[in-house]
Amino acid sequence: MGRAIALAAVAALLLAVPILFRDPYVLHIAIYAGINVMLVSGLNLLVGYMGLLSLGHGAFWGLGAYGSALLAVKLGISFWVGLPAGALLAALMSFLLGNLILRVRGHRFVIITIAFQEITRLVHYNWVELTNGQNGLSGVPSPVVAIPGLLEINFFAKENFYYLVLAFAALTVYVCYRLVGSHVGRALVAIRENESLAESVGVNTFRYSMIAFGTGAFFAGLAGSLYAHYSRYVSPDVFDFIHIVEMLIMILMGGRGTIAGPVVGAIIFTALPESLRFVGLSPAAQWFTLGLILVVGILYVPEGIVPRVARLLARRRGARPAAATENPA
Amino acid sequence: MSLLRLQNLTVRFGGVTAVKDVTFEVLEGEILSLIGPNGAGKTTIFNLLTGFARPSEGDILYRGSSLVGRATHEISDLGIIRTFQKTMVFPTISVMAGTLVGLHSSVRAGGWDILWNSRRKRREEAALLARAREILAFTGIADKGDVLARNLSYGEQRLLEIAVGMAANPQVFLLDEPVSGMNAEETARVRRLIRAIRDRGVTIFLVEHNMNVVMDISDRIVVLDHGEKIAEGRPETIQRSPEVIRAYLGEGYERARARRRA
Amino acid sequence: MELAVELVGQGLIIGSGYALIAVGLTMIFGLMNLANFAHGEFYMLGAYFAYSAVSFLRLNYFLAVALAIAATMVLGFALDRLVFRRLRREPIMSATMATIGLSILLQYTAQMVWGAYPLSIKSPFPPEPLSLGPIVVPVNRLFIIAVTIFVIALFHWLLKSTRLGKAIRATFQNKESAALVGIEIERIYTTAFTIGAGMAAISGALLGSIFTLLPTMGGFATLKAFIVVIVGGMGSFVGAIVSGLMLGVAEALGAGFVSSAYKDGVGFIVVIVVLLFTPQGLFGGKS
Repeated sequence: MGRAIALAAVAALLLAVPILFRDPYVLHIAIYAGINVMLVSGLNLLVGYMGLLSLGHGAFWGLGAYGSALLAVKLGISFWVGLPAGALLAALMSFLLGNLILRVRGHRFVIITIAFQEITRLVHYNWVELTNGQNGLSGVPSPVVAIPGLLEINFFAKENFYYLVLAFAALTVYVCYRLVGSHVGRALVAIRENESLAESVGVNTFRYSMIAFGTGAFFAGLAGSLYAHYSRYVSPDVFDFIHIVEMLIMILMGGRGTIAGPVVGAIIFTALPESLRFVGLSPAAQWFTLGLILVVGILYVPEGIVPRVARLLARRRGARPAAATENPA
Repeated sequence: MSLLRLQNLTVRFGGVTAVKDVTFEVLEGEILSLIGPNGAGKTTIFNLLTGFARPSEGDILYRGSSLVGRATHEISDLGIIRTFQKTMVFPTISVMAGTLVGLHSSVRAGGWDILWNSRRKRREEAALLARAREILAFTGIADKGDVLARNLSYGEQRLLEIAVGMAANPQVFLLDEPVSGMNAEETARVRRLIRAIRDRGVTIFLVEHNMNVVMDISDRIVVLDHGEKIAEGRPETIQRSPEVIRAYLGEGYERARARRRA
Repeated sequence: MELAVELVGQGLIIGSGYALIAVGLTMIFGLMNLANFAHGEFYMLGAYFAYSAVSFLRLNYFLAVALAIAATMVLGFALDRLVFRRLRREPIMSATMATIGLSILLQYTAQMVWGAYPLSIKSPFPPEPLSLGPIVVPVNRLFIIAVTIFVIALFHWLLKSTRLGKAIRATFQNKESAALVGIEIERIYTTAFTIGAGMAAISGALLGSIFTLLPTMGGFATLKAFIVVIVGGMGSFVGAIVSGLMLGVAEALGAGFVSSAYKDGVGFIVVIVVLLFTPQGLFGGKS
């Protein structure tokens, strides 16, 4: 009961953001936070639940962005087609890549994912005829809903785009929540905890890795498309390794292996660099601070903010902290 | 009735022949023990049966169809479940959560059920929880449901291993040294548990060094030494077999014993 | 044909830089099972410390390089004690992410201290190249190759003939046994980490006299080092050296004959192929 009320309160708050904060800058941050929520919720399925450090997630984000943007800019295709197209492109790439690499584990897997993202970046950087190279694609149109006489919304306005992102972010979190609360989620955790044991009780590791990988890629692709049509510009910078670091910070500090963790992490660590900028720190100093936070965080709050807060609350309520389980299952 | 047939199994890796031309059967409903000195190839046999290793020669038939080349999770879907020599649990999740993982193969819910949290899924989850509780009670660790696996004592972890294996609904349960490192009380508990599992209709195939347990609960025993089968039969036969005594205690002992008898 | 030889020559220079970094990384990887994503920052700092020693302390190049190596090794020692020691028992992912965080930290510290504009270290050697038979080699490149060979030989001697080297090799093979015979594992780890940092710093200081210095050069070096270590087999020093040289040459030839834009892609494709088809790498034994 308490959880339902808390969720309703959060939902109401989220819906009221554009009303509470008129400042377009705040909405701008909120939109990026929403995009990040989509990115890291999907990545967390792999990193947090399955324990597989995939450092190529940015590639799927970028593919979704470029896919949707190219369709719009070069072929004039509507955002509402480009959005699922970008997501499906990302998912397809993850399927192809996954078949090659998901049987590899450990450090090798990590390196291959980095290599994959770098290759993707190089291709987008150098295939100038298609992607316009380092100059990027500009003029990506804002989404529009135009049913004459019935409904006309232009998502150029930040308040409108915010609700669009909010809807997709909520969808992403919902799907991840359901997955995690099912045998799929349990299988992922089992693989992380003891892969041989999981296999020996019937968990097809490859199949579930692929599910996690593909789901994460799909939502990253969605996020990419939203990003492209919000910024109205895409450049190969989307493939920079630094974005993966941002995502990892969000997942790690928020709380890997939980649903709320990445959401909280995404919100905090989208707002934080901006606040640092506000306070007058140079970009280099901002990044230095984030790097420092990551290191300190791993040393002192390795489980993340949400689990730590949950533990503190449980202790206050008098429950035995030692018996606390790591995941809701 | 023969459930599992191991036929002329040979395993070679890197110049070592770990298992050499081993043939025997596991009969339905029996408790069969595999014994032999260290390094005899016992765990290798388990690895072969469960897809963790491939035979260089020979075949393994389960209810008539071959297991060779199948993936581990496929083999476990067929009903062949194992525990491991080294204690294997899911360390940072609770006992209950680990047991639910064991029930993985019996889940029928599909993508739609999961996404919409359909009544079918909710009912299935409730049934899974009930089954898990039943298995934990059966194994004797019902009160540890919320404890993280790594916080259990050694004996409790071994019981958890059995619980997780039982959750996977075995037809043949391969137990790798289930009482190793246990005191008398824990050993007796596991002994009772193994019998109770067999009474549920599960065929048990056991690797064990504790001869009291082996002689007490086994219907039949197979003895391996240096990768070869050197004896097979009922416990009384094995106890008196000169080959077995020689394998365990060496030539000298056997000769001395023979001299004393003479 | 001359072009090919020239390219191979260039490739060997860069390759030897890769090899030095990779040997250190192999040691850290093999001993501590740590994927040190901050390793390239030692390379970067070696270069920048040398730069400061030359530009601000007005030391001659050779002294500057020595000082830079020492400074980086001190930093490596400190980082191991402060950060990595606490992470030894944590799951691999935590330690890996900590190294990623450190990498960011060090990279942007460098940017704040030295700025984002490219810098260069003036080479102490005359610009006129030497003629060795049919090949014409710039002197500073000869120096780099010579030093690399010397350092690798020194490292080899260290491992084979000194007590420390034997202790490192023992720990490499089997930690538990090494501990049982009284080897202090923690000291070995710290020492290995420090040596690894030093070797990366040498590479940075040397190559810094040819290439421009940028704060991002560390991340670049890390990536290349990982490719080399993995292709060479993650526990093999010989593998690291040979793969490093091979990667350098492959990239140079690729840049010259195929396309300079995609030259970095060569390495990435190589690593994917090698990892998929020979899981232990070309020389690796234990993984």
